Amino acid sequence: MIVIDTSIAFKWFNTVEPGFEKAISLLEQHLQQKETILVPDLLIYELTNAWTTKTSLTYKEVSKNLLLLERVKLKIQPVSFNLCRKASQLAKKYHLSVYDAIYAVIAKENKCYLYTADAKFKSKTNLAFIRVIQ
Amino acid sequence: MDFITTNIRLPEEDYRELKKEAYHRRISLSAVIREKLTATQIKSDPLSLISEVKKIAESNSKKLKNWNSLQALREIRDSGK
Repeated sequence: MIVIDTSIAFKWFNTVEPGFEKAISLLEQHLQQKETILVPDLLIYELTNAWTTKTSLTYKEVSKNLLLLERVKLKIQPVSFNLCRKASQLAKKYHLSVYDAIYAVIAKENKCYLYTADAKFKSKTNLAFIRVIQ
Repeated sequence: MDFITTNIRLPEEDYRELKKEAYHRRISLSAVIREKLTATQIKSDPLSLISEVKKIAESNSKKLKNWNSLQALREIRDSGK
């Protein structure tokens, strides 16, 4: 099992993103059931918000992306008070946003790698289970 | 193959589209719906899903070529924008 950050999911939907092929290969492994991709439900909000409010994609295009994402059947971890408490603790420790910390907590709890495109996230925490794809 | 008869509720617009397709192809509405279901199942195999993702990614890239997704994500997470 692996956890991916929203920054990796963005790459799946845009061929000009740096690291597109590497990100797609993670998705391929998930679809071939060689590896399960686990994400917090937060990822869906972040993708939707970014595509809707920060790009020129139309509603139809955003909707297409989401329908396809749904079919990929990621393993989705819903929010919980316990998860948020742990994320708050980690965020305080490393001066992160709670949103960043949520991904790290899920990866830590499941003893798996967290893939992100955010090198600063890795350098801020220096957590061994964080892998950067750029 | 055994068939089961059932009632389903469809959005009016989808129903009209399916009826139209059935009329033009001279097949039953049921046959059209069965074909659509089979097509969806076929499209869900890993290789075709990946190729669909790549196709959409290619199409999105026309509008997203100068977009910095990481910066957008940082704005959302750091400033709540």
